[in-house]
Amino acid sequence: MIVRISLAATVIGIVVIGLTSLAPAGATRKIQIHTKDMPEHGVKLVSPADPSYSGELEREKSGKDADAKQELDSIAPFSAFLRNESGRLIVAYTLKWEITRNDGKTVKHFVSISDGDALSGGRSTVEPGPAVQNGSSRFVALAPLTSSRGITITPTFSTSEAAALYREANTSGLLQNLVNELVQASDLTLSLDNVVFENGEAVGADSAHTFDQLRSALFARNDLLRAILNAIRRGKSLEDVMSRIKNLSESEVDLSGGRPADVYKFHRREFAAEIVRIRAAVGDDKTALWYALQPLAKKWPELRKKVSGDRDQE
Amino acid sequence: MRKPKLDSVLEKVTSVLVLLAALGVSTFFLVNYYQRQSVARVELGSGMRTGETLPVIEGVSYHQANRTLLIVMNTDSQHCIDSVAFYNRLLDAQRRVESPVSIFALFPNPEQDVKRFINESKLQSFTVSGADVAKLKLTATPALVLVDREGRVEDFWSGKLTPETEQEVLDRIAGR
Repeated sequence: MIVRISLAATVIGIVVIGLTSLAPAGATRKIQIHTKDMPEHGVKLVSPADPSYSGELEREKSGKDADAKQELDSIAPFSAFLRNESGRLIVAYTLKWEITRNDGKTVKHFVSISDGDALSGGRSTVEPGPAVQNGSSRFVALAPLTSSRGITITPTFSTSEAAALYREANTSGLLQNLVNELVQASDLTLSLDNVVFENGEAVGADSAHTFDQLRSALFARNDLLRAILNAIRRGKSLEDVMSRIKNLSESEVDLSGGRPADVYKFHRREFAAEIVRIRAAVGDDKTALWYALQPLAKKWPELRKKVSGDRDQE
Repeated sequence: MRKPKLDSVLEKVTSVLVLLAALGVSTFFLVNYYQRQSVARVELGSGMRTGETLPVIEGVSYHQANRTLLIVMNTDSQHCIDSVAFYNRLLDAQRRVESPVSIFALFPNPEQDVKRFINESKLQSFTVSGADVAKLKLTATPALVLVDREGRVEDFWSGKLTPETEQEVLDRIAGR
């Protein structure tokens, strides 16, 4: 009896294996990528649907190890190249991915990158910095692949799950989360939400309100540096000043309410933390503070939004 | 002749193991099959792009005004029906701007379906029935496309809009 049952099970197993192996995979969903860039300002996006994307991606992969190359391939739908043909340096930008689902609901994700050094009147101290030179392209992705110095306003995700995965730097989990959204989509729109040039001029719809965040960050940096300088001029010891900076770098900030004052405190804390890191690297207070105060000697560009009708400024 | 007791036990054990193995392997392949069916592959195609010039759509003229707004709809789309109130607001708003925008509602549907849709929804826009909207490479409806006199795309919006995006569209129409 048992022999008959096991024979029957074996036969069924063979049939199941055969049928499922030969069955076709799931149907392919075709999703169109629409692109909203700024040709009038010389700033363009190369999306994965663009014929030149694969060539740009190959150049991006050049010199990277196998794992990094595979990671780049896997995030194609959620990446793009920002091409700067404006004649000017781009010091900050925000990209938006809008996924329109079959139920009509739209999910939005943003990535904002900015060069704190360039926005503070200087040049990037790392190469390549966050700024995008004229005549060059920059790879931008929703997943945490690279780190660059400067003010990076972390990606904004419409779902808490995706945001949590980003914070954990769980790239594969994040990608799966994003792909799950994409398979429910009818189309995807990739937009340049905001671009800031080296003279402080900002263009774009700025639906992510990046402009206000940038200004808040720069005010916080400027205020912090001036407070440090004033404390030194008033005769405070360098040790006291650095101690105060360290306290600031460890302060609690609640960003849940999104209040401007809290955003300001957050950025001030982050800049204080950067000075503490510099101190740890150079080993003494004087050198660290000298280095930290350098931006005050430079002319900071005035951030302003371009009003329609304004001519492009050099 | 009766088999030795040990042989009988071994036979039964082996049969049970074979049974379990067959069930296990079958389950694995079945699960794998359903996973392959449910996780569809995504193929990306090129859609609309700002700055590109739209193809000519019969019944639509881009030269009537400095800017033209195309409202791409479908009589079968509930989101289109839900968006009519906003489109009527758009029509009202553009009458008050210095440089009016020419507005066309495009439907791929036949004329009688479009007439019924207009009667039921009270859409006030000039409509074009049987339009070849596939040329626009838009997959979601409703969709809005703002073009200049030469038919070059200045901006576009896809799907049912949020209140914030509706205001963005109103501001664009008003030239803000």
